[in-house]
Amino acid sequence: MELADLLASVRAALGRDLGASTPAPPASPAFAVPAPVTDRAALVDRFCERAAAVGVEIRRVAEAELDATLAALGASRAPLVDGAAAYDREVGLTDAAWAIAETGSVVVAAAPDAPRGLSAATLVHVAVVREADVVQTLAEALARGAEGGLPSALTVVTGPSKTADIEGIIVTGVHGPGRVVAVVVSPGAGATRAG
Amino acid sequence: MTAPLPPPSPRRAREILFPIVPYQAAPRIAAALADERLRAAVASATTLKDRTRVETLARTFGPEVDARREAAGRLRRHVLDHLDHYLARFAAAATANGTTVHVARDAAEAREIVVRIAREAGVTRCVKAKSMVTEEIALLDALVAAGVDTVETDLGEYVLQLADDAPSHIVTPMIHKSRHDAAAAFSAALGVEAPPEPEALTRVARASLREAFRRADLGVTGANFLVADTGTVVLCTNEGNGRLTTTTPRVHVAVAGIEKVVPDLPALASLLELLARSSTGQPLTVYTSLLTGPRRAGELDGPAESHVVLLDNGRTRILADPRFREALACIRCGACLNACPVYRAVGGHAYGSVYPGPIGAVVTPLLRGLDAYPDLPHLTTLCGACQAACPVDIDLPRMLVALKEEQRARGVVPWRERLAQRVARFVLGGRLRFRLARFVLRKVLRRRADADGFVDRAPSALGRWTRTRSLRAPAAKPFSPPRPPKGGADGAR
Repeated sequence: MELADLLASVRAALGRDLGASTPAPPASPAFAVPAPVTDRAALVDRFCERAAAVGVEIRRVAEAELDATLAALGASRAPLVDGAAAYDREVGLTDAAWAIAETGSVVVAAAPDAPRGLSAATLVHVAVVREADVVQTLAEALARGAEGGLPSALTVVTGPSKTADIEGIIVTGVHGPGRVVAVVVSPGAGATRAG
Repeated sequence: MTAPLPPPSPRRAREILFPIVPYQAAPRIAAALADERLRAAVASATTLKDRTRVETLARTFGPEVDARREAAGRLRRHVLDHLDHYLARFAAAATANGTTVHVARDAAEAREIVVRIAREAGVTRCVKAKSMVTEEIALLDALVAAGVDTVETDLGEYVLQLADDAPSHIVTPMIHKSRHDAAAAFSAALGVEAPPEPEALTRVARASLREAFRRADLGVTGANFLVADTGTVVLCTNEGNGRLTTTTPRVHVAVAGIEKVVPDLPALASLLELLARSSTGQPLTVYTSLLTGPRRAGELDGPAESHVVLLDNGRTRILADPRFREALACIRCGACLNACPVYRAVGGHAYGSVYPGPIGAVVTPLLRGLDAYPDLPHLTTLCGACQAACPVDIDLPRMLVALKEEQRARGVVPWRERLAQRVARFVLGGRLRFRLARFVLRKVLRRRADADGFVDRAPSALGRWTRTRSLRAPAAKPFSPPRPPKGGADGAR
């Protein structure tokens, strides 16, 4: 079946003549964001709190401490030779394009230097989150993701891989990483704080 | 539109979801009711999920919950009312991204398209993510028959595939099975002995499926949404199998019902905010993947070829009927199953279809024919819990009644029900008749009541009703509203 045939079937089902113009869609429903957060520090705090609630480990560090923190986590920026190599790597390190405060999510975008496997096939996923990249809602993160066109894969990661398929009991680390660490980097110098 | 084709293979799993029609629900209902373990498992899982849904939505949206549901429903209905526009837009955008868009009129054509893609790409090993639409078209069997080694990678679906069983819930497919069933399946099919503990069993599946992911050259998924604006396929998964399915294999095929399209990213966000919360009580599923075309220059993984198969398979017929169009608004969260007293009591296989629960009781007769599924519109108490739970506010009770009306118009109402309706019309038609019938019934039932005031075996026609439940005996003194004053003035109290 061709697309044109399908569209003709759909138009017939809708009782519309072939080629008739389609009304423009209404604006998407807009709701007040629950308890809007305007203060950046509060937004970052909320991300850390919500991410921890879905099982993400939080490390809050200053820029100067980043490399030591990543080294301690066993996370390396060594590039992959091919995509399948991600299965053999224990720790996958990615930069989070954005982080979402309301849902505690980190958003990773596929790119030549950021293969999908690093956050999908490894045992541990370490995501570097810059405080400036924390947004409040999913809608904001998607809007920013679409600026300049969506990548081939944009993934919103909300906690470690999990299942409740067997008797509703939650088990983490099914196929994806069972441990997700968000390293939240503040731009200024400062002492390390536990999340 | 041609009638649905029979499924390609006689596996037991297929017989569960594609029974001989006209489908008789009574034997499976009786079997489910007699299975204490199944009833306990389904009841506890659904009760927990229903409560979690209510708590999560209230905590997140406060007094706005219903306004959100209604707005999401309006959005979905808008898309359906202009589906031609959004489908054309999606197809154009996806094509521009390098995705090949295919169109299938029915299940057979969809199977042919996927098998052809597999043959032309020369692939032999397929990993499959959980997807109801691929169950609807019985794709797994078709791929296997075509020589493609195909593995279900969702943990629950994997256990079901190994045990030759079928999903009974659209979100948690093995809700009807226990840890012991999973251990037995792994032992029999994989030769791996694991203790019957969820953690240990999950490790077994992980180890076995990782090899499948590494070696696969074809990844098959459904789609939770298609974004018209950007030509994006959206997958919502928790285990990560959906991600690996679209990371390692060099070919990705997403099969999607034509109703899955949404206008743009803000619309997508507004639906995602409700989907996982309604489904499992999570803010979002662990992975929400927005897939926009194949891998790009310089990327090390992701499919080199990406395909979308848009499936009609009876959907335009539903679209054409204004009584039932809104059934296509469904986003497959499973909340109506978890809320439904009938689903909770009998589980999913009693519906004889890929789509169980209240939404299944509506869409199965619409997709496969009302005459093929005459019992389904009756698997309801019309309590309205399904609509109240629905994140897109689908009026399922209204459509269940409309299907019953359709049966009456077609003259397919069983004689017992027709007789009962005639008797009821007669008895309720006159005050004296009603009082006399009430007097007789009260005497008879009270005499049969046990010490607790329940009747376990009612006489005559009512006996069928008390076969599976007890009837509370009538009160000693009947409730009689006062007779309206003579002259019947409105509002006179």
